[in-house]
Amino acid sequence: MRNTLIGRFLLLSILWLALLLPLWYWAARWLAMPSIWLAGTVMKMMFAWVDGWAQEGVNAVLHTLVQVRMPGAQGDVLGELAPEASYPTYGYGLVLLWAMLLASRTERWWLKGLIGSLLLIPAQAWGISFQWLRDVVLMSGTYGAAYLKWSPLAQNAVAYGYQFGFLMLTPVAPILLWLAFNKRFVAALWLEAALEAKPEARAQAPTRSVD
Amino acid sequence: MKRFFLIFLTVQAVLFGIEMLNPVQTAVVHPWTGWLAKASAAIVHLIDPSVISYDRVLQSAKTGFGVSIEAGCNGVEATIVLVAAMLAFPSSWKMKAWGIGLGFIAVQAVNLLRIVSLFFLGQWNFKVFEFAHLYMWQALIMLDVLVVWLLWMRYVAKRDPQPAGPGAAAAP
Repeated sequence: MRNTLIGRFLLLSILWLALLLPLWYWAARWLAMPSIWLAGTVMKMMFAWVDGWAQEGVNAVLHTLVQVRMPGAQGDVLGELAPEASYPTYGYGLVLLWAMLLASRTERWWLKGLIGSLLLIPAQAWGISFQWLRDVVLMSGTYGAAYLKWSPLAQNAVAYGYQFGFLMLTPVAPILLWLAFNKRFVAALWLEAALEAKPEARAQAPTRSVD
Repeated sequence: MKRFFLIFLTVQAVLFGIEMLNPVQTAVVHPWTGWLAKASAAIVHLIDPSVISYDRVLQSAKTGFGVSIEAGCNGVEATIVLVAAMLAFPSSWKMKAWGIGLGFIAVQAVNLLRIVSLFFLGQWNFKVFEFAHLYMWQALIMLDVLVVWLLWMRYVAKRDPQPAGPGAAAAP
């Protein structure tokens, strides 16, 4: 295995990304269904103030019983919070995973892609749920805070969960799945580099090509 | 492999938690992001002399279009992922230190390219800017992290092969 193999992997991944991203974006309203369903179901099960949830295109809307004061046409009115979260913000990892599987010519890439797509759903649901929670718990102002009465520690946990989901889990989950699906690729990369450094060992040790 | 994932996830979560702390944001992340805006402005200036930068904003004085470099766009999180991956992989501390140093430069170089390209894309077409900003570049930066880590791992295997290397971290 040579550096050019990693270079080829990078180039092909970029090409597949460029090809698959528009397709994914077009199909996002259907691809969003499982993660929005999971996020909505978990939220409904966990919090009494959740009234329900709905999918509007690629957006997930949480209907809550949390009341906040808002400016209306004839003075302030009370309204119920209905925060929105966009699926694509947390869903692009799906494309990254498929692009990498195709670029690395992973054995049974289609099966691993399907399994990986299923495994990514909880990560996407995490992102959607925590964005909803952030909007309700942290951005609903004094009325929302008074209704929920969440402790500062719980509010910090929501902030961390949101940031972690948005900045870490979403981009890293496909990378970890790709690594888990390509253990042999990584092991072969190590072995061949180690043998390149010790030519005498190469003559004795059997090698396998992953090219 | 399990050990690698466990250490990686723990280190990543801890480093990210540290990054989120207000003192760290004030002392490290915000100044770094400001510096990034200045560095991006210096690069853009070669093509568009009307560009200015202030705080975390990069703005064209001619068109008025500006981009603010926010969390997730300053390369800090990508660097955290790379650091966690290098710390989790069995290798000597010397190799880790070199990898983190050079990897940081590689990640930030690509991140500068991201900011500069987004600045020009935004002035051309805002929809394309949004798409590239939210999805394309997010994926590309993580791909960059993975490739840097693979190259580093290959280098470690050549120069500093540990007995636990492929077996502990990469064997099926």
